[in-house]
Amino acid sequence: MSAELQSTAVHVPTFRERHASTIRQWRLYVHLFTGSFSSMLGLALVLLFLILAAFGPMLAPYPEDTMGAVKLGQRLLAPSLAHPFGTDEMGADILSRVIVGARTSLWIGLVITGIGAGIGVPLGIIAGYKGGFVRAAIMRVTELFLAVPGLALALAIVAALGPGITNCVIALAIVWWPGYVRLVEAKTLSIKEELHVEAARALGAKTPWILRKHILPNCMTPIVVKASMDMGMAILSAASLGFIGLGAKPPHPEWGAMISVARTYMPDWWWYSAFPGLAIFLTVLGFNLLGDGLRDILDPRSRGR
Amino acid sequence: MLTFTFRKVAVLVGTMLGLAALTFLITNVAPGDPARLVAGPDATNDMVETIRQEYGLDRPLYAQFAIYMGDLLTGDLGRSIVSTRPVIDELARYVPATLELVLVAMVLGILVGVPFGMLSAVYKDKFLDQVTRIFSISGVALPAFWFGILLQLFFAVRLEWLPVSGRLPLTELPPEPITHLLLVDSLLRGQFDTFRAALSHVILPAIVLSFPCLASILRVNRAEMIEVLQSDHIVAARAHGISSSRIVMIYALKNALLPTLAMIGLRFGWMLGSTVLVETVFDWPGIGLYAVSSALASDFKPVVGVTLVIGFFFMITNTLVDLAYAWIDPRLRSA
Amino acid sequence: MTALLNIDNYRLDIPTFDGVLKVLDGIDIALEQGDTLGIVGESGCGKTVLARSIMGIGPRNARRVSGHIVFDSTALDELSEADWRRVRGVKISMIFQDPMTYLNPLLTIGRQLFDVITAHYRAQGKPAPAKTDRLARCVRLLEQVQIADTQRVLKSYPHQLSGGMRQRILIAMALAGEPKLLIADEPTTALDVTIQAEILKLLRGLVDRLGLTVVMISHDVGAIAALSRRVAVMYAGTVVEQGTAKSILTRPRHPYTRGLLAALPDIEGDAQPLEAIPGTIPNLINPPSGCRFHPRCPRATAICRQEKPETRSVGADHVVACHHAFD
Repeated sequence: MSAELQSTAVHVPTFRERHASTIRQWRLYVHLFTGSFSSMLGLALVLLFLILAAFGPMLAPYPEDTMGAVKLGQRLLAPSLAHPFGTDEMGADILSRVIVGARTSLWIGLVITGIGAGIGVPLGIIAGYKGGFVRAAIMRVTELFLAVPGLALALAIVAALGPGITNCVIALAIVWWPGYVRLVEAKTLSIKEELHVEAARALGAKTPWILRKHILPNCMTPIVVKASMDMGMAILSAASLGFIGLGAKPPHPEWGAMISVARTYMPDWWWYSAFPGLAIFLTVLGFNLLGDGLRDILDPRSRGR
Repeated sequence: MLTFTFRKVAVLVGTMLGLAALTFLITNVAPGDPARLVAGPDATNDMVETIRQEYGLDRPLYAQFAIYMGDLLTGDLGRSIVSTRPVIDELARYVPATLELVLVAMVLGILVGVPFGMLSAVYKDKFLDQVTRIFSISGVALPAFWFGILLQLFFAVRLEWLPVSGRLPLTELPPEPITHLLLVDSLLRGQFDTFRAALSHVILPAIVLSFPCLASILRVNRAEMIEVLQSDHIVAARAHGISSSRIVMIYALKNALLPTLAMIGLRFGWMLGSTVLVETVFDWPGIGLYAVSSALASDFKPVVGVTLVIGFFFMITNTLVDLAYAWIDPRLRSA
Repeated sequence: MTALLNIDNYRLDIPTFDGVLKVLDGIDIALEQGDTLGIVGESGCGKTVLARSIMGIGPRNARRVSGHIVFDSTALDELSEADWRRVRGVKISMIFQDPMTYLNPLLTIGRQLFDVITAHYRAQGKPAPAKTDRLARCVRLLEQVQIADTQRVLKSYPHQLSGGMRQRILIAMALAGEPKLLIADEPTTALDVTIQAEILKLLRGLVDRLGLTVVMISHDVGAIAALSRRVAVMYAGTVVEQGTAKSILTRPRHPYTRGLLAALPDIEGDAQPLEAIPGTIPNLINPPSGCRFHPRCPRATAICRQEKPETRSVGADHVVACHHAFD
């Protein structure tokens, strides 16, 4: 017996040995993710979008066109080598405006998703963990917000606040958080019953500690997946309000607003609406594919064998 | 089953009241003067004062709330500044057009989404599945307004197969209303040319509206089918010699239909919300277009009216979905 | 006379992310018409995969490496899905472990039983008799498994019935096609102890009365002993010992079988300390060389690490695969 103990004491496990199961887990994730064409496509689209958002003004061929420069001599030119996406009614290069629009969209997506998760996740955890009256109150309000389709409710809020990109983001953030409450509440309810939480409680751990150390980490998978998908959906919703004419106002380079103006130049100047729309589509598609791929690898239940 | 129904209806009424309160909150929490919001941006100070008195906006907040709720219960949604007509009358005119569009889109979504979801589950990871997977994820990502414009460009402008926009050509008289749904009324009246015209107008907007819905119905149905097909009772059914086609069509589909049904309910509401985009693109005379044009004219009462109507239809749908759930799943019925 | 079921050097692999699982490694089993065989082993030893492979409902991605499963002179592993329909439920039929999850929760018992009966007629290419006749057959089947209020049960949904009741219904379904071979996959594991005895008694009675050929899978030696005339002991994808139940249970030759039996509490004998088998079941991706049991075996020597033991006869209808079998 003592000989056995000694022999194990002599052998100091290497990093690889100590973390064997974690390493295997990550290798499995990478294997599954890289093995999926759609996940990799999503990642590529999102990376492209992030690069455009980060370096847009440097990459745009005609940076001055994004600030509302007027070049009446070259209005509504068809796509050419000089202007691959054509020009708009002010003579501005559409490619430049689409590139710079990425930053606006990234900002919109981050703020809406961030505020939505920032409000929704804590409320969901509290509702799920506390139960009773607190849960009833939070969930009633949440269900109320979910009872109206988000876009319709956001439209009403923007109408009350007045049009503009900031108000549009505020309105969307207001309708965005309930989704997180519902998601996190359901997850918390099931985690709460698990043995490691019971054990922590029995050992006298305080509630905030349990929430931070046990509940939140276990809720992260669905939150990350939802956040990835929501980045796309928030960008799409903001562009929709921009299209209606309640969001960003020209000459601000926002994709939805560009299409809104472009619609009046249909059908002869088709490129004007086609390319900003393509940008929205590819961005939203990228985030959706990424979220979908993440869910596939992080949630074993959804992983079809 | 009866108490279940009763409970669901009670929840419906409660949520409706809550929604009314929420719209009141939006009106009053927004910075600025609610009277001016209702009166519109071009109103003179006198007009704002008149509105203030008419709606009781000079009274304390709780009294205002009581007045507001009282008005709502009697069906008074205020007046539109643009048309000066009661909002409720205008809604009555626009709702059938929207319902017609949404119903056609829903039918389209279910008829395509459910069978293709089933097929791609059965042929999981095969070619068909790959195609539907890309198709269904792109479906959710497509901006409805952009997709609508593309379809208009191609099918209406380039090929000239279908009309660009509207619900009926100006030259065509709508049939004498029975249900106010043009497709149904024209058939009931035997006016087949009108039916054909109405159908050709509804196709493009319905496709645009149904696309994301179709995509998510397909995805949910596929995922559920895959899961159900792996479940123990399907293994048992196979072991007992029940044919594969019967297992897929009856045993698995019934089980997979439950979550699909929930998605259909969810997407119905989502479609109602998207009408603000699709109706704008296709100039479809429904509540979506009404809400957008009112919002752009800072005409606030109609926007609130549309929000309430959309919420109402969404909740009705959810209640119906709950009831259908209980009808399909015996475990819920006895619970 | 050729055996009704003949499994001959059957090997099955399942590829996974971590490597290829060698689930079944050269299984040899023969079963005469009317005989009852119990397959016993720890969970993960491959007994359920084997049972399901006989039914043609094994893991989807499994690969047969060698050998055949021959039933009634037909090689089952070469049947097409269409051919299988003439076998499943009609010639070979199966009872499952957990009767809750193996019944469709959304359909009534009557509907499910009725469908099974109808499917059998279709599978044999016979016209199905009138609906009332088929309903009458449902009732007779339920009576056969000793369910009294058949009308109520037929109208019930699975969640409205007890576990024992559901298991009876699954047995009735399995008997609906009058199969030659019945596979029982842990038929009592998910049930309460008192119900277990009832179900075993019911099965025993049915086997005797209908002259069924049975393969029963279980990790419960007691349940196996109650139903089977012959026993096969499985360890890590191999059959280590096979023979009559009497011979194996009273005089086990393989060290693993000894360990398995010693791990059972013996309520009739004197109180002796229970013995657990040291170690854990091996990883089937990199199974131990030679005899798969050698790392846990008290009698293992150098040869056990190097050579896979041949199966040899140690008595009338008793074979063992061990280099150092007990006498």
